[in-house]
Amino acid sequence: MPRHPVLPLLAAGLLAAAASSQQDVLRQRLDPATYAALQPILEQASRDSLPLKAIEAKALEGQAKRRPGALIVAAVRQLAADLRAARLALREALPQRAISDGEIVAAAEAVRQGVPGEVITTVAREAQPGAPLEIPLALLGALVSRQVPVQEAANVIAHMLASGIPQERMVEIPQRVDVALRVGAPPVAALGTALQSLGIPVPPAPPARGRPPGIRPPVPDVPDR
Amino acid sequence: MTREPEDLTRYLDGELERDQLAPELAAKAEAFERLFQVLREEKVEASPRLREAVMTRVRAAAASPWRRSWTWIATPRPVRISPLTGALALAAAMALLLIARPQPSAEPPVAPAAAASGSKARFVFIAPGAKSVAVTGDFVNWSPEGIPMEDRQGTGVWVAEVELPPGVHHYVFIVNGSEMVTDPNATRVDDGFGQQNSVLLVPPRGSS
Repeated sequence: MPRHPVLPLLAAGLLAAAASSQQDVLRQRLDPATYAALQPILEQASRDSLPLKAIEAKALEGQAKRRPGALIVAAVRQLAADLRAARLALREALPQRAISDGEIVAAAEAVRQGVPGEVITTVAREAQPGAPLEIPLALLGALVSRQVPVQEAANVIAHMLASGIPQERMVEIPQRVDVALRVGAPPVAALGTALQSLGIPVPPAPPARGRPPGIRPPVPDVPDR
Repeated sequence: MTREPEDLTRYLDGELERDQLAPELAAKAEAFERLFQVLREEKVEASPRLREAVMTRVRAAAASPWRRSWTWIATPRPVRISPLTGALALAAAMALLLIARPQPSAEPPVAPAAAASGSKARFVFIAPGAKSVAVTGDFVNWSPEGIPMEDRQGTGVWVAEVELPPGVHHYVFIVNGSEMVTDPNATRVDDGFGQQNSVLLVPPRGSS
């Protein structure tokens, strides 16, 4: 028995009081009914190892924008479903690698912007081992939202991933595309102009049919002899 | 102390009778008794000057209220409580601390300290007629008040610089404390509430 048994109790109490979690913020900012309705979604998301912080942030965003509780719950539920699908798409491309919360969120957002899940998977396979995908996937969604055709955008992103183009140069692309779009360039031409201005080689255009160059075809199964 | 004065003291305290005293002490005792008789019969008043002199010295020696309070607080005193009482008091203090935690501060929120691999983002919004502009987003838990922006030149160009960790960040501008608008110069995404958010990409530092 320690000589001062109160001291460990005091330390534990102070630690508990000092730990201000996102849950506390949610409880303070949301009305009780909305908070209670969100709990099952958050608990399931936690069990599924989804990006919990992003899901909780969506609820706080709804509160900040003064949205009704029912709409907040619906948006959070939809986001959880999007994240679940995005994680599956990335896991298919990267079965052995740990996938970060940011990558899952970026993939879900790209899908919401019009990028099919299978394109996410294909692009992710092009990344160099260990290279982060959050920025490239967000960029893919940004290009598609600017009316660049999905295959064109995917081809460019895959090419940059395979070439190891620095992300500090990648993030400049959307604004440079905007500049070209403002002067009337069509989306594909605007993307080409943006790449050239950043010194990024423009990949060859994808063929009209079949898989675009740079996107590796699946390895056929070879039966053992 | 000699024996004789002690016997006199005991007599004066009422512990000895006069006939128990030695003759020389008995004489002194009688002198004391005559003095006491005078004091009992005559009303003796100190002169006002004596009284005032004494009180002046008493007041000068008295400690101020602050000093008396400090002396009381700083004086060690033994306190005895049982372990059960102490544990209950501690639990009550912890409960009060948890319940009485302050509400979300009205002070401008602070973005999380960027990791060494993040960078400083510069938000710019042009609103010449606005009285205030702030920026809010996932980096400040979507604070309804946001981070205040400044129009230092008074030209309607509102600016804020925020340290952000690397990654993808969603944000909006808050104009005049209530109207949320997207950044016209940034990628926009559906926010899931029928509106849009602006998107900012922050690369890892040293990713070149």
